[in-house]
Amino acid sequence: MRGLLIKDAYTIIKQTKVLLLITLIFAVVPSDFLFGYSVFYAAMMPITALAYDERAKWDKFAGMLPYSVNEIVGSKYLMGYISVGIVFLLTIFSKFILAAINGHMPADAVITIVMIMCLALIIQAVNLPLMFWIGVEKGRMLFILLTVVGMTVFMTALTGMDLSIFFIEEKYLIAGAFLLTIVCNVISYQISKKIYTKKVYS
Amino acid sequence: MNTADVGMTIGGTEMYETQTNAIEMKHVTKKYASFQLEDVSLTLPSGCIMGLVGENGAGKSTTIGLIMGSIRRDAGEIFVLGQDNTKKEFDAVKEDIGVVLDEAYFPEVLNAVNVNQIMKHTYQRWDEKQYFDYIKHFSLEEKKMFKDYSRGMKMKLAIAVALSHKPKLLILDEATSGLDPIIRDEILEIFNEFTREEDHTVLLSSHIISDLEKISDYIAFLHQGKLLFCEEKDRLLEEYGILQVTEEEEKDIPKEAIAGRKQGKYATELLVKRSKISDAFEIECAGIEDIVLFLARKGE
Repeated sequence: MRGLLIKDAYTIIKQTKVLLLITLIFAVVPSDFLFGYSVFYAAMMPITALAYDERAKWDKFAGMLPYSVNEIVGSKYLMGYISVGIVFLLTIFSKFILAAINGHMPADAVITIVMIMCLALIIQAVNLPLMFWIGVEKGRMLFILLTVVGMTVFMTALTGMDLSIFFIEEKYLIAGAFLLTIVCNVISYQISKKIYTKKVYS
Repeated sequence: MNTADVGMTIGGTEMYETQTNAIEMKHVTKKYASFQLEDVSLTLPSGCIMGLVGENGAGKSTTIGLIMGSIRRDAGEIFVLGQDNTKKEFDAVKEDIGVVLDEAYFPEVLNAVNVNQIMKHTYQRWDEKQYFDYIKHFSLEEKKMFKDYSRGMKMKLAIAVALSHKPKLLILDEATSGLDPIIRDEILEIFNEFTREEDHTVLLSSHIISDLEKISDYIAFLHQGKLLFCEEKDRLLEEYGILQVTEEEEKDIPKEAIAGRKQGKYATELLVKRSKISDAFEIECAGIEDIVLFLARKGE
């Protein structure tokens, strides 16, 4: 799988230098909003790599190499985790530096970062099967449509509701977010493998 | 390992030796909405070169995809280097196979140096030195991006990759098309050199029949999804001949001897089976291209 990750890394580094730089800068700037941007860009990296694969018809060639479907599909997920992981570590590092300078760490700093990271990885889990299924161009449009519809339904459902019933202790919130992220990614990976097998090997 | 008994005659005595087959396809069928590859059976013994001939859309790329397991068959069996290619273990067998496809490439921003790094971590027996020797031999610029390569250069890079991990089997889909005649000849010589090793085998599909005739031991001819023949090249050249006849003369030729027919303005050209026709006729030699064209016309 290392060969596949190296290929994607070369593609991303060469093709999206500016975006990569912005992602890294946003990761270290002390702003949760910019961190959000940064981590979502990171989670989009495998999709960018997939777009270049599509253009080169790499899938056909990859099928001839000594890689299994698990490795080919898994490499894209792993790439997302590595990208998000790098952003996470950079952000944590910058937070600690800032805390050392200011003499205190904001209480909700880490929890916000963890929650945003989990959300980005859940979005990656939704995104990747779509991209494997209908390709990056159409997949992106479908994802935007799903997000708009999902958000509209969600906001409508919340209107007028007493939100205090959703109050959850921090530790349960983090555990729940982790669990949901893992479940979504495991299901997503299994779906992507099935889609990829059907699409490429039929 | 799958083996086949191969007959050979030494000093008038028929001898048999057991020879390993690099590729065995048995009654393989693949159906698409608009195309069908029907009941294809072919055997490629180790150490040989097979040329796969066929018009556009005949099923050559589908056959290669089926052999490599990148296309799922609907029926039949395929063994590659002795391994059923539907089994999980086939992923490891791919270490021994070098493949060049006609329209699947590396992402366009990569260069030859990047490809080396990728393949170094893909193939266990990747030979960096050999790869760069080929890059130099093919006059490819190491730092030039793939998108700036001509089609010929892309094929050369793909061939360098296919040859640089010590494969036992080379599978090449239109690998020589788009190359100039001089480099084509050089590449064919490399393939020829490759099969000097006893267990090295080549399956080469091409439109350029003269290339295949030059180096192949076996010729397989696919036409509209059907395998019309898979024969030793020398046997084909021995078996078939061309005969120019008038309409009157044609009546004297047994029907079972006529494999193909082309009506000219003044005479009829026939592809005939030498074994089924009298020596009295003046039969000209038929090239592989003649045989393929006559049989394709007959198949329509």
